[in-house]
Amino acid sequence: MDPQLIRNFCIIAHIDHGKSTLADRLLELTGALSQREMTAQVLDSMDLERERGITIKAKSIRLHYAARDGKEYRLNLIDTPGHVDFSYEVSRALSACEGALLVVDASQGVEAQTVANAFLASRNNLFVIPVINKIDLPAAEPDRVKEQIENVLAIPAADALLISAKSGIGVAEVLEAVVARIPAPTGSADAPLRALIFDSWFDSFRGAVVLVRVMEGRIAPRMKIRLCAMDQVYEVEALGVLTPKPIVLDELAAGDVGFIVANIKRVADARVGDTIVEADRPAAPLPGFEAIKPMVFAGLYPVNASDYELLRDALGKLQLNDAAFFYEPENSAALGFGFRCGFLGLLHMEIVQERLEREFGIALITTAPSVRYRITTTANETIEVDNPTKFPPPAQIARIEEPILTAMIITSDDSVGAILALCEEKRGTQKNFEYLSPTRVMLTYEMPLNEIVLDFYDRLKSVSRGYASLDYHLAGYREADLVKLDVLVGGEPVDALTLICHREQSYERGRELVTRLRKLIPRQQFEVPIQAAIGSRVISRETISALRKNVLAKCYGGDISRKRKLLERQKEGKKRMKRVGKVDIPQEAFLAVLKVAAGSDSED
Amino acid sequence: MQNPRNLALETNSRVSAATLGVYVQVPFCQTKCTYCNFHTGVVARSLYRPYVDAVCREISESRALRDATVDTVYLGGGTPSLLEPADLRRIMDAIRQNYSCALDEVTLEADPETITEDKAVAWLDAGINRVSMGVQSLNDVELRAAGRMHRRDDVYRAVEFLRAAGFRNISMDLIAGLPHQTRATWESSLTELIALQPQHISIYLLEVDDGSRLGKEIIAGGAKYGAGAVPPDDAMAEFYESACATLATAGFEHYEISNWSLPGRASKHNLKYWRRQPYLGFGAGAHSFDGQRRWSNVHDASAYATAIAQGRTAIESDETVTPAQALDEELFLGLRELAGIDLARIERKYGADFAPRVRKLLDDGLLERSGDTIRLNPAKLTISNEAFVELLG
Repeated sequence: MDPQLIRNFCIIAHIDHGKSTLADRLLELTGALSQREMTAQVLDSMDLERERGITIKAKSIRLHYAARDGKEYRLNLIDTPGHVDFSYEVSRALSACEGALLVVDASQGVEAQTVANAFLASRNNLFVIPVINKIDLPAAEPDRVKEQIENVLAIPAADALLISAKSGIGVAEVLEAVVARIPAPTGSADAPLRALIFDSWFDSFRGAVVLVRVMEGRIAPRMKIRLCAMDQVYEVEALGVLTPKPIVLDELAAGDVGFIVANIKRVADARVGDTIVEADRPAAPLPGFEAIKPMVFAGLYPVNASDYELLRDALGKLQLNDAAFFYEPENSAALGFGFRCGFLGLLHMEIVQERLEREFGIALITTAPSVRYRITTTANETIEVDNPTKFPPPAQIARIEEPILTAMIITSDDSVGAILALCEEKRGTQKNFEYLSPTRVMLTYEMPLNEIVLDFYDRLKSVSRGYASLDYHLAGYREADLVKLDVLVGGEPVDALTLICHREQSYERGRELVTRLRKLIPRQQFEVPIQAAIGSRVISRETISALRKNVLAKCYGGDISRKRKLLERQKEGKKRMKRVGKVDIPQEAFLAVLKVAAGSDSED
Repeated sequence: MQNPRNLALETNSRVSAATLGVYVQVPFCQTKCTYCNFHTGVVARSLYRPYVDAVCREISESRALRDATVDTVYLGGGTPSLLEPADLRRIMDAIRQNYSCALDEVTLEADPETITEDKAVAWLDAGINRVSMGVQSLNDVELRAAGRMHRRDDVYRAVEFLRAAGFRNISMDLIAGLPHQTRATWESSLTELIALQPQHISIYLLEVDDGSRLGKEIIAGGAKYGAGAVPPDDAMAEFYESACATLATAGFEHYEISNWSLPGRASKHNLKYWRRQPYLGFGAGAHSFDGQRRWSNVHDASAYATAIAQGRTAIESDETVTPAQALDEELFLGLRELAGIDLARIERKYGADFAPRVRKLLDDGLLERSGDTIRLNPAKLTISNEAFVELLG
């Protein structure tokens, strides 16, 4: 096909601004799916994605569009993940396109992810078409939004499209604009093959299915290909496009987007961002590949020790389909055998957790998320530690560096005060403070990742009554005065409760943690001291007084079964707790560290 | 006036293996106590007679344990003293007509305000020789808050009626932990109770059913039933422990977690439950045990009465106690008696070495051991479930 008739584009937007709804309309208008086949939001196919309204994995769909100029165009719509955890995948999906539809909610205006996505698009040299969505809502202010797009994003918005994806208003114009404004792909089909991998998933029959954008050259079945980053050679078995139904083809040529099956066993072998070249005629790889590194770490433990094998199998299955997810066995004195897992971010962690519980039916205890610290020892060795319990003794630590983020927050001016206070509490350093309009403010902060991984986002939403939006990216490592806070229950250290915090916050967090634990750990036969300690120095202590009442009085007319059941229930309850030393600790107590580490908004 | 038959019955005959206890459940109350969610109902009196008909028929048609000799009867509830004395007599007659009896202890549970001069005489005449009175407290504020119908004065009056009629074996109970109870009101209730000279005293720590009015209020908050005025667990435990000391001084023997008696006045019927001796229960929700099987009737009184009237069984659950469960029971029931259990006997009987189960509890101080006998540590009775839970196999 003449590349002049191909358009590769994506839709980028802040969450809930209508990206998926617009994609559905485009599919409908081009007849990719009949009305009957449309389930709402086709592109978000995982249940979890649909429930959360978040696109987790990018996909691409080929559409055929008969434009008003009388020509038939081939439009490749590449969907992008809509969350900051997946920004690397977004950037790779963007680099597979020549243009982007930047969808902005007509009443909400520019939000943090709008800015972040627009920035990514311009860095990838995409032509951006502003699309103002939900113009039929009473609160819509398209003119104000146009102004924001121009002022904040420096994108001309005079000819922004005004649409309502939900009701279909203006959607036909979107397709025309894609054809008219977005450039056709360049790159010669006769040059040696260079194809960019921007997504992959695991199919139990075919192994890894890889989505590519052919930048130059051609690819066809039986061709020997090399994946540059992993330096592995495969033979192409089949290729084709998604419409969204898969259609097998004979060839993908420069400008095309499609899938490839090549007997690649694991998605981890076909990394997003990698370049596919012809094995016999190797070209230089495309720029921009990065091996994705997990940023957030947590221990996952089965509630019932007998589920350990089940959990291991489940993690293996998840990893088949998720190259960004990492795990290795670990064990905890308190929680027994489990796994240390690494995630791209908090959302990624929640998704994995939910899939384990939902798809595999495994009840889990998740330890408080941690980040990867860089520690220089007094012997001048540098080690990376992502588990607080693995911290070397204080005497062996020369310095600790922690990952720092650049965070961008956009909010209405009436919540700025509360947000500044929150950022301050989270050890943030203000880098920029800018009015986007008389009532909207964009804040830029440098902030330790370990302050964000807990509930920063939830608290940001709460202090701004839901208005503030957030985007962030890793900005490097910085030295900090951090300490390891240990918790002792009944005199025994409980490894799963250990946390890392700034020295200045350690007293307060220690106090909050022991207070909370006192309420969560039931009274036992004996008095139980709960202590927070830094090294051997106890900084806070509470005592759970001994249990005084657990007795059955009456025997209602010889009803022994009732007594037995009551005792059995108690026994079951004890079984669900983890025994550390002589103390039974309920699961909720292990979550307490999460809330405390998250800050001082204790509920009680 | 005293029935000559009862005079003979007051001697303490030894409970032999062939003896049998009979429990009759009367699931009717005048009002519902705030803390109770038991299967008892406040129903029209017109329903009492058909219910008693059903109980009598169930007794006459029962084939269980016909060879045994009934030596104890317990008419419990609910509030069985609400029944007409004639109806209680019909129940007693049914037992006597259908089972060989050597009645030693026949107990009626009675609420103080239901006891009258005439009823007391009629009860004794029907063969009842022991009354267990639901006193609960001698403080009117506490009684009112708990939704009890009686007041302190009713208790004194009732005791007089019972004594005048000839009852010489009276049990009274108190509940530690009623809303508004304080150390002072608790001690004064107990002192007054002892002064009333009962032969037997039961002390229960308040157990609030989550489904009861008070239970719901404790969970959801509120003040109508005194949820905020329920003493804390620590106070309840202290009340109980101070009662242990006071009752010992007053000459009462603490023979079971919740029960005290003057010498020789322990409840023979209730001991059967702890000793796993056979008993038959008749009436709605009544439980039976024949040494191997435990079964029970449907709880709902009208469903029960209908089933019996139609000649169907009222049994709702029926299970055979496995050897492992029997061993559990020996432990968590047997240890309720403060005298303890004979470890050697149980190990012989079950061929089990459960020393490991016991060792930790001895270490923790929940149990005590002397020779072959293990027993609850008298200082840890308020947390005895901790031991029982650990002992479950």
